[in-house]
Amino acid sequence: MAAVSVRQVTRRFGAVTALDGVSLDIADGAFVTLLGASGCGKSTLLRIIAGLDAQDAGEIMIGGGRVDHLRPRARDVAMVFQSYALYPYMTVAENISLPLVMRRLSFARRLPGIGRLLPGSGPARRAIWSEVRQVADALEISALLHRKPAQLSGGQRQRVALARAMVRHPQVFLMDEPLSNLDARLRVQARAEIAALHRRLGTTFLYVTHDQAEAMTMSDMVAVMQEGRILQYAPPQALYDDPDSLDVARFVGQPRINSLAARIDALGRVLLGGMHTGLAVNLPPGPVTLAVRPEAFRLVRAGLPARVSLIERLGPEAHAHLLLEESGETVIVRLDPAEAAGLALDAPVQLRADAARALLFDRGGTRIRARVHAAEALHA
Amino acid sequence: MGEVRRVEAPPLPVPPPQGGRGPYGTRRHRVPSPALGRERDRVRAVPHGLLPAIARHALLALGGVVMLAPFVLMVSVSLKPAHEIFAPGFALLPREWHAVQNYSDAFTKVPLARFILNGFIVTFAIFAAQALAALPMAYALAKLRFRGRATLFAFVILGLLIPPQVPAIPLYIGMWQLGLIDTYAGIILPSTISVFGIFLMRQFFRTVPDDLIHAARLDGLSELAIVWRIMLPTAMPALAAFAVLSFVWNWNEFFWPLIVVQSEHLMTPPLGIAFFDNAEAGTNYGPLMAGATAITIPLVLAFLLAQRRFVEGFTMTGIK
Amino acid sequence: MPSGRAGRAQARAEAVAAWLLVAPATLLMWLMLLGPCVAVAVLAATDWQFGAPDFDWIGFGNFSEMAGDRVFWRSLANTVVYVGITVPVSVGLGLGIALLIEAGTSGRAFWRAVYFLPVTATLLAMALVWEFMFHPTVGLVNQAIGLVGLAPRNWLQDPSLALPSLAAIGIWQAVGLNMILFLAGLKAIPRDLYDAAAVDGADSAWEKFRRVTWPMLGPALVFVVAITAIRSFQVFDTVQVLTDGGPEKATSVLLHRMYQEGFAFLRSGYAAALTLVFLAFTVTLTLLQTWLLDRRAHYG
Repeated sequence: MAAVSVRQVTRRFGAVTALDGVSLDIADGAFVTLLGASGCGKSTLLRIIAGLDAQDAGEIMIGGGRVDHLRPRARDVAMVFQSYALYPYMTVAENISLPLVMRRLSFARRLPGIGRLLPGSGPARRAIWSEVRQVADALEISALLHRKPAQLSGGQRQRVALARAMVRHPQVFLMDEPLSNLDARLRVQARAEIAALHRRLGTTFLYVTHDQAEAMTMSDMVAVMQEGRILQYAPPQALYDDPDSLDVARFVGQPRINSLAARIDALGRVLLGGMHTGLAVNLPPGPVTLAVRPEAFRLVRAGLPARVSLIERLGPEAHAHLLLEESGETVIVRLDPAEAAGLALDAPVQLRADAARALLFDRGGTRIRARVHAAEALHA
Repeated sequence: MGEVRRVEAPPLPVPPPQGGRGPYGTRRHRVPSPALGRERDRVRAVPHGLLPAIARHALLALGGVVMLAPFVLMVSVSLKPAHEIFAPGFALLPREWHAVQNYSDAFTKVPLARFILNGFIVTFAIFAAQALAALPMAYALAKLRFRGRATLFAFVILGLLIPPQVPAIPLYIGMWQLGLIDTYAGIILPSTISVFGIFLMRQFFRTVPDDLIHAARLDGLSELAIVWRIMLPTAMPALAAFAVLSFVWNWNEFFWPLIVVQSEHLMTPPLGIAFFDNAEAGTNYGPLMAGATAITIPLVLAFLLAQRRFVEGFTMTGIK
Repeated sequence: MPSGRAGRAQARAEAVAAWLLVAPATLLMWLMLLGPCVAVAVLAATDWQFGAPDFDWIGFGNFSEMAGDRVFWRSLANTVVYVGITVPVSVGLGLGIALLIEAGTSGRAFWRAVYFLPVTATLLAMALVWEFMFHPTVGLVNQAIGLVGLAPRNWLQDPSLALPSLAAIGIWQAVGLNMILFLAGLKAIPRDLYDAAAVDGADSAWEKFRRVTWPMLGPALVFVVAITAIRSFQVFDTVQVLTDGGPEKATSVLLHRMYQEGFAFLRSGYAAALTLVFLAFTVTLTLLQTWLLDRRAHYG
């Protein structure tokens, strides 16, 4: 278990800057996720922390010591790859034992054939084997120990990859999108199992994914990344409720947050389509973006006029796509099945948003922390 | 990963807190500060540096010299007069340029230009015939259903096992009966069938979506038209690579032309240069090397211009 | 599958079209390849001389003559020795060069071209250059070893050196082909495996080679060895032009014997029998290769 520190790490590939002065502090024993779309630099950062790539500038510290000049094997980290990277011509047992073999047996003892005959090789190998068995039992893959990876299912391979990482008792677990090759059903179960594993082991986990659901459900802290920078580093709920930027707000939450064009008038009030939203700020007049989560809207008798353009009934809830009459923008609203039952396509409705939960962003996408006026909500 | 179970999994071997003794009595590994790091662990993560690169290039250059030496020598000797060739010591460039004499000797003492022309005639004719025969068959084997398809394909596989020199004797007898000995047809005919080409094209055609063919049929194309208008354009890369292989193989083919050709004017490049070697009693190296250079140039040029195709073509012999 | 009357008519039309398409190639295949093989087998049981008006059926007579023919056994042994020298050296060098090229990023296309050039060149033309290089007095080889203080040799005229010298030429040409086949095999190895090995602690050149590269190259290796063996079994051009089987039958190889018997001495029957022996060896090599690759694919 160790804390990981990233200080001003930069990595360039030719003209492309993959990481731009990234800094991050991961607490000892925390589960931290790097969340972002492809190309944002999250995998690059993970590989640099692992030692598989070297940064152009900046430092990496693990457990309080700088590791920049150390090879991956000396950094005491373990990694689970997206493709699992199991050695195809070794059995599951051999796959899991390789890290221990490389670490514990000397070069001579590792030599094929004659290595086994050397004195001391026997007890060392037996010790390794029993550890492999322990980990295999813990992950319930003992029956597979003599099979080759090609004979395993996706979920089984993932567990073997986990076992190979666990057997070393590393200080940090690094995981590069380990669930993306599983089908949806398995993924949900795997998420829970990895989270449980983290609780049991207490080791620091650094997890990379583009799936915001994984990030939200498993992590203590999430770093949202985009174009080589960290947009925000906060616990999952904080990202959801209190994002620093429009990009972060849009990234987290399904269905996506609704962003509407609004305006600050001369009095500092935020107007949406000419109507007062109930928010006021101490800023000069100008355009802003008002972002409202789908569940922060309500259908009322008098409010913003809109028309139903699509209803998606999911069972436990419904998502209604509503076309605002005034601005022509479409919002997605989360409704109970009961509320949605009475709606028909093209029906006119009136909308109201909860001003307390509305988020305000300036033209550049940065969050404006506004003040709410009394109990006035969004209405005519 | 199996169903979610309520049963507690067996306890994991949890390591003790930092700094204590690990589960097997070994000292718990701690990441050392740089001052304590073992020397061999201090290597940078990404292998880089001038020394490995120099070593690599040096080794490759050593082998490269051996690979290129014959070419360099060939050109060098083709430029020298006889007394310089047999002089002791080695010099790359001649002191007395004899290039014109050597090359004109090569082209006059034997019909070298004719040999090269024959090379082109033979390779083009062979490839044209191979493509014309192989493409329709490959398409039929890949996409059409008919009784006997499996047997036919089995014969193709069987043909792949047979080295080209095996049918030589009966083919010679047959050609002799037909009066085709010492004719272009005699040289070209046996190579017109390329089971390798059929096999390669079939593998390629199998990857073409069936829907494409159904659509073509609906549009009224006959099967033959489908081969030429639909399959051929799709298979261009594979065909190009195969063309390269065919060109190189048939340009350099020696065994069969040696058997079937008797007159000078029909000789293919390898035959021609062997004939030249014989005729010159092996001492007139200048013109001989000039001749060798002349017949090697078309291939080398083609290779340098279309390297990727060449490599693709030869790599395809690996796709089985 | 189409069914019913219309379906059957359509299937028949398809079959007719198919047979029309395969007709030319099938005809050629039988005429030029498969038919002659059958003819070879038949011929091998006769004592026919080319051009003779009649012949006798002698069953296994040719083969018993072969068994007692010292030159045959010598040529078979020479061929095996030639293959035995060419295959390990050219496969090993091909692999080594491929690894060296892949180890860095600079100059890959250049080195690939340099090593592949001999493969494209006309073997005969280059063989003549090699003949000059092997020349006892002005040859490059003797001059080069003279620099290191070794005595010059008559490479192609010395019975104990002639076959290895021809093997050297064969190796020279084969290395490039093997190299690109190994390059293709190396490219197919997923980068992830090397990363996983690095994290697991196997990041030295030897360990990477042993744990990842070598096992993953297994199928490529079998394939390269097989085709190098089959190609070198077919050695003929260099023997015919440089040594003609000599000196003292030191470079007599199977195909060369077959050529001599069949087209110089015109003993078609006996030559056909030699051809069958040649065919048997190459088919065995190919089947061995297929079996080994199949086994690897199934048992992982």
